[in-house]
Amino acid sequence: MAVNLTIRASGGATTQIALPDPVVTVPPVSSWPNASNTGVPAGTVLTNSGPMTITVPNTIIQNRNISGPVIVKANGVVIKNCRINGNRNGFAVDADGRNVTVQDSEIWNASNAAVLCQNGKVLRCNLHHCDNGVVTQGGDLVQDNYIHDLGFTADAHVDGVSIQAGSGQVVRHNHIESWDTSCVFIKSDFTAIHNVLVENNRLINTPGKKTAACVYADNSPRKGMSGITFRDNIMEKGNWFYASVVNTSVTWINNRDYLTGALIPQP
Amino acid sequence: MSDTFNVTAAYDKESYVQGETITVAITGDNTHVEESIGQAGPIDITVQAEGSGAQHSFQIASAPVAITTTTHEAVRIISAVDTGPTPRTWTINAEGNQITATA
Repeated sequence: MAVNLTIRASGGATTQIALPDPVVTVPPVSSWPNASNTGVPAGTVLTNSGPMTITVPNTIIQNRNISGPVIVKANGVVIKNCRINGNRNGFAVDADGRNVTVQDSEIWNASNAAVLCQNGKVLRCNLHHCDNGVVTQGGDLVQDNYIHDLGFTADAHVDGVSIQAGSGQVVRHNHIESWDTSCVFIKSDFTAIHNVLVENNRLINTPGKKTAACVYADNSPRKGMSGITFRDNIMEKGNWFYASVVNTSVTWINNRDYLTGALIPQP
Repeated sequence: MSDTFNVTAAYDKESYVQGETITVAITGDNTHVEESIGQAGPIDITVQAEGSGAQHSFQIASAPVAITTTTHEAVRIISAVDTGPTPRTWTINAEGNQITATA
């Protein structure tokens, strides 16, 4: 049994129900995310737009060539089939605390990150020329993205996916090329972080550069960290480590070296 | 006092593709039974003779009586803990009758 529910009656009595683990299937993968299978689908006709602030819930922005940024101040917003030039020191798509879905889009030119979101989804996007690809605040799904050529500011601290707060993030089947710090950075800088799954990604160094460590699980701020899982990833060693694990432990399953295919020992 | 939960929980689909939203909903209620001891009496009874019309009164002492109260109570989810090999974070909705997570 995988999910244990505690049920309470209006009179105060409680009981428990155990459910089996749900059946989850993995769709067939033709290739790793790259420039040809992420971003705006070929043939999409785009309309030019300027920067925008979205305040209406569930707004759908699609088929736009946006000279950004895009500021999202409502929940349920969907951004798809867009090319977004962030044009700023900040986030190109700034959905601070909002559950935005960004899919099939190309986003670049921002100092902080291409996308900031919470309980959001970033799917099949081509993200580049930002200091970070995605900054997640908790509950986000980051899947099937091509994150590469990172760096916007001269002294960039670069991470492909940055998790410094929140829990429940899933980082799955992305191709991330990074340098400076990491491909996936998990550090309890702002809140405790629990139950993050990083699986089936290709996490490598930007050609000619290196990360410090391919992935981090760093609880040196001691705000709390548990349930961090790295499995079935392809990793390229950074300058010092494959993984920097500090003041916590991680579940480490079948992670292999990018060049040799050898199993990477538990950090 | 007893509580009998008649509650079922079920996934909304038989299987999910990675990235889909998984929803589990509960249905049912709790049958709450309270048993208490009440009292019948005392009872004052007066009888009368048919011929003379003379009357006599006496009292039956009180006796304990069992009282059973059955209530069907609404139920809600107060926690969802995932102990599977890939623990998910489950969110409980405002009504407390379903949870969701990402496959």
